[in-house]
Amino acid sequence: MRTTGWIVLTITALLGTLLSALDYSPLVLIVSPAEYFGDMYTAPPQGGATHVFFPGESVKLRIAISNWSSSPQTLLTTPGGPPDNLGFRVSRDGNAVNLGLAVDNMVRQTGPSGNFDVQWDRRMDLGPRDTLTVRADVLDKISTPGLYVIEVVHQMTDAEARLLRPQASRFQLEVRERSAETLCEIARRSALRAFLSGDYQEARNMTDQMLAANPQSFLAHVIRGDIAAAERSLLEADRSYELAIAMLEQGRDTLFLRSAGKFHLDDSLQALRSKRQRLSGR
Amino acid sequence: MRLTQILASIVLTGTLSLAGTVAAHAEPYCPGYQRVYTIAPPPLVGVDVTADQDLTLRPADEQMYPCDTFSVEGSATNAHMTQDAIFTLNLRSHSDNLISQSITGPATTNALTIPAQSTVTFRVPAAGVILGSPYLNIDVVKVIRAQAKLAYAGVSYGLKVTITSRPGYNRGGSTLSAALPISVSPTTVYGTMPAYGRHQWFKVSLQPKGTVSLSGTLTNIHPTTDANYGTVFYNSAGQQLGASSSLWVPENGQASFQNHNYTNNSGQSLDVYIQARNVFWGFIEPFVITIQTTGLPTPILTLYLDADSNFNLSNPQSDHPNYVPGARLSDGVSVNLPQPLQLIAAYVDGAGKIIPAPSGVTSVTFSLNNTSAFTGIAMNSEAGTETDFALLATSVTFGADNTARVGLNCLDYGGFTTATVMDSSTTTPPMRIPKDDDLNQLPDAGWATPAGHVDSAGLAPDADNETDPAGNVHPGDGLVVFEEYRGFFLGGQHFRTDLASKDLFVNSQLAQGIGYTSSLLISVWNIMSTELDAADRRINFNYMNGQNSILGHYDQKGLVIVDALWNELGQFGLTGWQPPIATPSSNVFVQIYTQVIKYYSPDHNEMPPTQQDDPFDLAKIDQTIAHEIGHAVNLPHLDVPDNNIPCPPPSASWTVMLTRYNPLTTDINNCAWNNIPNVYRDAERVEFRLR
Repeated sequence: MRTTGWIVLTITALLGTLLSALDYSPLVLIVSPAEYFGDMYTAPPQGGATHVFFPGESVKLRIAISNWSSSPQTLLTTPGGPPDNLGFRVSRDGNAVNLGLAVDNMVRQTGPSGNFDVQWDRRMDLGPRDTLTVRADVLDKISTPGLYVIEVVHQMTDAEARLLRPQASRFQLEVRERSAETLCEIARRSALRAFLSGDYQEARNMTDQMLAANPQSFLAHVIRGDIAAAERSLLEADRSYELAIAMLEQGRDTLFLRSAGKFHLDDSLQALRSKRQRLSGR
Repeated sequence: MRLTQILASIVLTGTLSLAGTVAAHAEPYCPGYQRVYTIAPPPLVGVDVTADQDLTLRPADEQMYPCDTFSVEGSATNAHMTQDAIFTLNLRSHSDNLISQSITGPATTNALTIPAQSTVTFRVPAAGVILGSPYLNIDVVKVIRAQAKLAYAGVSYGLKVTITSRPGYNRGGSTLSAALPISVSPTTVYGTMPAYGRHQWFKVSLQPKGTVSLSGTLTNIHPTTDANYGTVFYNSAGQQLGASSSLWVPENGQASFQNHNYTNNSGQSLDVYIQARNVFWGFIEPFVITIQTTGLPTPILTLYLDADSNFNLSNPQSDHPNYVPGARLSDGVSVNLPQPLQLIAAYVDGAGKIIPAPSGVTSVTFSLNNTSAFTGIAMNSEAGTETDFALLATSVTFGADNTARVGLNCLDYGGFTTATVMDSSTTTPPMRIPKDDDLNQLPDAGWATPAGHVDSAGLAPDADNETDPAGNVHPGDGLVVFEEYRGFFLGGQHFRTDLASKDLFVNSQLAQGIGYTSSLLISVWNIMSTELDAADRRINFNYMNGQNSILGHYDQKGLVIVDALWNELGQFGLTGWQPPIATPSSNVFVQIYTQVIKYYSPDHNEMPPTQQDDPFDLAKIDQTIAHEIGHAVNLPHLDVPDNNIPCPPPSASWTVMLTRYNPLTTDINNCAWNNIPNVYRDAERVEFRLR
């Protein structure tokens, strides 16, 4: 898709006059993580990867099929449900590897036409900007570091028999070796995973591990503040946020500062102050 | 009928014989010279009305000659409100000699009944054609006679006449301006010269001291009257240059002549028009005249590029001035590679007409020089390092059409080469493909983009100085002119980009695409992840031509927008770059935290977050994508002091770069969530930079 000024030129609109190599559908295929927490305490992904994981960390994916045209489109699937329609090709550092993935049968449609669960069918209509999403989880724990590519393979087309546009049909992740430097990030992710699942005790334990790995971790105190806020202990939450802000202002969290540029630091400080203000406004 | 059949047999034999003769003299075979014209006579009005069309009064080229074929068709309309009319049409050699009255339509006994207020179509003869006899005027149509009965209110009618000559005969023009060019010596021509009838005109181009000489055999088929033949030479202004002595051809007899000559003593090249004519009552049928010349221009070995498979032998033109590698010639739209082309070699005369190869020349040798070998096929596709043009053969034999043709494959959208062809003694001037007379490495034809045509004249291939949008202070988009011309694969299709607008390449890995970034007033291309360098996101990674880099090349990168879902700081997005300046090439990551957005947006923001889809999610994600892309191209936040942003924001603050604006709330009527900015401010468009 190309945009010039206010005029949106979709490549699909030009297809009628083109003879070039690949005539893709305006239905696009995108693979992205279903669970991720950014890269606060570790370097950004390397080698073209878009996300960093650590050995043993679960990898959960979302496979989205989205209509990027301005007119309704029809998805034509092959017989069976999502597990029958979606296959995967996995490589590590360019070499094929076996990795089990489980595809969910549940399909969610979101977008201007509404947000609801839908039944997978041989023909599925999608309005402009509507998206179908299917979950696929990596069953095996990935233990070997390296650059992984998980590519979705399929035979789905639109009503004009055009293949789905592989906008991001390859999920590229870096599985980074565990080290003393990564312990805090690994604990942070565990803390957030537990927090989002409502297991506040486990989340609190993980913040202890964050501080054990990085005693100056301001993010450990942010998460503790979030836990306290979720438990309605607003005073404790405010104290945690205040402490985190002070640590950040004083530049004590050197692990964070190593991976954060000045803009990232300012942005984080601003975000944290806003968070504290919102708490006091509650 | 029997006579017609016999005549047809004679003509057929003559045709076969003629075809062989024509080929021997390398004159293009004439598949029956056809003349079509229409006649619109006045209506026939009355009880019984007749009208003749006298074809002998028409221009010479519209008259029928012996051995021509003839047919006429048309329609007739009866204007009467209630009564039928009767219409007949017949063909005559002169007013009294009927040739044909058979007629198609609702006819009985060759008369058409035209119902009141109706139109009928007709054709004479009803089937086939009238074949003119070679014997005088028998079966040669001179008159078309129309008759109408009971045409009280009038019968209006129109005629379309079709006359076809014998193949190869009577090709001489009927006027000086229509003279048939003769470019091969010797050439033999054939035809008919009725009494004081149609002259035949031919034209030769003579070098100084060149001579044209005519000789021939003439047959007079008139039983009682002689014919008188003469050759007259004219210049292009119609002034007579010379004339031969006239020649009497006896009745029912033959005569030969030779040395009807003219020599060009003008000291310069001269077009000489030759009139062959009969100026008495005899009937020359046929004439066989051979035209020989000396001093014709030397045949020139010429090279043509055919890029659209429609090379015209009778008007040969090379496509290379308009050719752009990998582009359809008609409109510049990119086509698949390899793109099949053809190099065509032919000898041409001074008039640019293709002529046979000189005696002893049966083949030529094609070659390519200075052929590029860019890596890949476009700036971001494939990785091969082979040469960008490839000949399918080198030594090629001339074919029956007097050309030698070889396939040429184009393998790169920015490739170039120089082609030549040589015979045993000469080599053509080098043909640069694509044509680049101003040596700026860009096709003189320019190139097509979705935004329009780019004119390459005066462009420097290494320039990068787009200044859009108005007022922007950071010119250039990180792509030099040659790279924009060579183009990119974007969404699986090849495109070239224009120079009026900066180009930003984004691979959005979110279902929302590039969100509100469309308001950046530059060209934003949402490309596929496989279209960027897998390791470092460069968009122009194919910048080497053999051992040389594209002049002025700069490693430009695309932006990859990913979903990072959740963070504990409450940030909606995060962009990182290598200091000191945020540009696509210094960008490290662009992350959108969609779960944070969904948590903050009303009306669901339970903790832990439920990830319910809320009504403002999509708009906020669209704004956040534009916001983070803004950071990646050097735009700062619009940060209102003390977080005191009125809602809705005034126009000065109505920008996707607004920060600390959308609160965590369950209030579905919250003003900020109902007024999410979707554009950049003018001041921001001034500041963004791509290199």
